[in-house]
Amino acid sequence: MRLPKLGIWMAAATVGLAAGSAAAVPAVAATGTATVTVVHGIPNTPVDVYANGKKILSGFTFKTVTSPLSLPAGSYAIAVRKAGAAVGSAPILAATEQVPAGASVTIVARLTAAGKPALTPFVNDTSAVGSGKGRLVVRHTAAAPAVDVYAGTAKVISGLASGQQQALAVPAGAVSAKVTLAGQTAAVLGPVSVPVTAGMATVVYAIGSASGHTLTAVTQRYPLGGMPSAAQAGSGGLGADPASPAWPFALAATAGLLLAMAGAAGMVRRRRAC
Amino acid sequence: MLGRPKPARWPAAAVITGLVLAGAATAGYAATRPPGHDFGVIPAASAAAAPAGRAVQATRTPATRTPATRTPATRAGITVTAVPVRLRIAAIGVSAPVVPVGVAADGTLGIPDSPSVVGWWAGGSSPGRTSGATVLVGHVDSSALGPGALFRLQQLRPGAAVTLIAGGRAWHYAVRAVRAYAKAGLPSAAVFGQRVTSRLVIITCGGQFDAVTGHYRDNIVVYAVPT
Repeated sequence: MRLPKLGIWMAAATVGLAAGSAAAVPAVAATGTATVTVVHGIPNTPVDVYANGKKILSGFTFKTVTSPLSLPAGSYAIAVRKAGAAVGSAPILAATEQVPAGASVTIVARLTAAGKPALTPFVNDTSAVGSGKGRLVVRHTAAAPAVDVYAGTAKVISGLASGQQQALAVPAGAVSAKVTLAGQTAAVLGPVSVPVTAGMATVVYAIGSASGHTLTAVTQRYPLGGMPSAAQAGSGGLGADPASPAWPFALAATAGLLLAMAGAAGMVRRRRAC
Repeated sequence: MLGRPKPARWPAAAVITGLVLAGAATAGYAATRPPGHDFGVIPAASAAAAPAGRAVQATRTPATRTPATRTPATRAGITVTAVPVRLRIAAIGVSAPVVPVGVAADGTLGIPDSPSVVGWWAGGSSPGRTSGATVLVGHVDSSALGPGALFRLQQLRPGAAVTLIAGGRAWHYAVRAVRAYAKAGLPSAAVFGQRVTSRLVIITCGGQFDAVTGHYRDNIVVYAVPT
């Protein structure tokens, strides 16, 4: 009879453990949703964007980066049509994207190196970086040859081809970024000041077309790391509770008690005298 | 002719004065002790416990109707994140810009460099969602720049109104609870957890200050619910 009981307890313990670990799953993953951001990198082409036949963005224009879209994990048929075009009309672009739970994905409507429209998905790396650092990501999504990227005067990325990305962990602060055609020194983009925030990814997209003179950059920011466990939100001490030195109060209390005792003694003496 | 001597009053006066002094000293000491920062009841996590968020026109935006495409619009199950841009708490004189923040490898929630700017944990929830905690973090102060945006956060009491501007709208909340947690014992699952009915959590530092580490001992946490 002992064994079944033990079995029940073990089962209960297992359920408890499972519940405990489920509760510890990071926020976004736990809800079965994913985060998708859409970037418009095709010049002179306002569009409507559809997901599973429903219009989710209308009049979406070149150089626009959406706020993060929260959606149930799953498979999405994405269709991009000219702004105002009928739902049944042939899309400019169509693709099916798998969006797993907890994922952060960016879909870029862009021109390929050859200048053809394309939908290119990128999975956003949300892994944490060290304290005081952020992640700088460069995504080449333009109709342009391979490029080099400089931070200040240092070449930090070499030969990044259209459709590729590269990421760096950098200290928080402003990065002076410049993009050149691979192997050259003249900037085709920048220099621009890119603010990098600790704990955040800053994604710079090169979009447009070099030959069409529409090459430009847009940025996206997304958070890194899982669940926070702490917050340090003050360094001045101005808002601190007093340290409460006890001695002045103890002194006053002692004096008061002595006085009371003296008074009581006096009263007793008087009574005797009476 | 000497009558019965008047009964001297000083001993009685001394007893009373002495006891009052001793009592006042004790009370005074108690008053300077770290005050209890715990007020109100933390909103229940269950979905039935609190109403879902309600959007109200921001006072700064024109009176025209906000287009339906403005955030947070839900189409085909897709919700556009209403990214908070400003926090207002009239009761403690707060009107501060808000920027997104993330989490460092050591688990510390990021915080804007400027003490006058409030951070919004972009990995958590956002206004208008029916579940999850929208988490804000702000400096109580900075050694270099003085009082921060949330310097008076611990003075908030249940019932106080809090407004977030996000997605072109104002989102209204009412404070339900104020708590002080020793940082070492911060119940991070309760504070940052997302398996809750829509709530707003505002965090700063407080309690005693450790001049050696340059940090406060406590986190002050305000819990609010949409109204």
